[in-house]
Amino acid sequence: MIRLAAVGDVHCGTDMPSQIRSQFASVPDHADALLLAGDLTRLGLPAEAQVFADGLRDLRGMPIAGVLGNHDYQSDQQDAVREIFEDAGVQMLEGGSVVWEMGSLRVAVAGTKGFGGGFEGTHATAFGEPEMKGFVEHTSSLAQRLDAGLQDVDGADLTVLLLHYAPVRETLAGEPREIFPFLGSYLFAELADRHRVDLVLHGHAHRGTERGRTPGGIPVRNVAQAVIQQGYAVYTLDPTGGSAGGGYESTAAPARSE
Amino acid sequence: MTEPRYEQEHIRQALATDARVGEPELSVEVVAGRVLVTGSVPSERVREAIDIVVTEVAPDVAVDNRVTVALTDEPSGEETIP
Repeated sequence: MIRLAAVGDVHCGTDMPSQIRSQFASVPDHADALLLAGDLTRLGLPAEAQVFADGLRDLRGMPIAGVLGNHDYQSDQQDAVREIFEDAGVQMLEGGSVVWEMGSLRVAVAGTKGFGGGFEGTHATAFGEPEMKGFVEHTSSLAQRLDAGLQDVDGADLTVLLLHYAPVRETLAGEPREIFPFLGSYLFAELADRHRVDLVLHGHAHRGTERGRTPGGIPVRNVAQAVIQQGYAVYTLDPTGGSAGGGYESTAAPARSE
Repeated sequence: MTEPRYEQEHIRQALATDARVGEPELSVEVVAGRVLVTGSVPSERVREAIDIVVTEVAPDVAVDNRVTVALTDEPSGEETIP
């Protein structure tokens, strides 16, 4: 059995060091690993990332993976933000994946920020102006990289897909429908279904709903902090029916770094 | 006087792009000379900055700031994913 703590959209500001430390101090009491679903910072400033990273100090040794969100790009310093989290021991995923040996289980996390476009039936198309093509191609290229990252971890006992943007409409319930194309893309649900992952986590949709499913039936959880209304959510997965897993003594083994 | 529907969008844009707030996810509604702002922000400092930014963009309307600071409590339970 594996217990995963997850939260997105923390929007850490430089005024929040004690808040961040307090929010994450209890994670080892509840979970074996922590997943951060983007929008880690409010304005994408390295100083904000450092406050968050410092707040994770007590979790040293615990497997932590994360993706960036749109807020983390706001100041065009996303590379510095990413590096600060990596220095703090967070496995930052941009289409890649990581495998953690946890007990006798190989637990894989594949991740990407994701992007917009919308959902099956009404997804934007790469047609017309270069700006429109660029919008759609950004999403497509992220999906292609993620496809490779998921292929790398085929055969893991358990695979979690970590996103910032939403992969399905269901977890957007509560958001204005007009902005759905800016909240996610079905391309990532299609990958989750094709690779038969066990769980998809995302953030970004503050007014959305926690629980949904891909068209193929895979559970999707919107862990935006404003949605879960707590410091982090905890999900228990047990691919063995209770005979394996637990603990996080083993080292992380990145399957693909980018 | 600015048409209320335009004014509410001007305010929404400011709350997204002004670094004192930087929250594009907030909802803004201007009704009868009053600005209702709802949503969630990460800290009290950001919540307080909403009043300042709205007043700068729309000095003639009263601000009704019903934005909440996101809860960060320890989880009360867990969900088993089948």
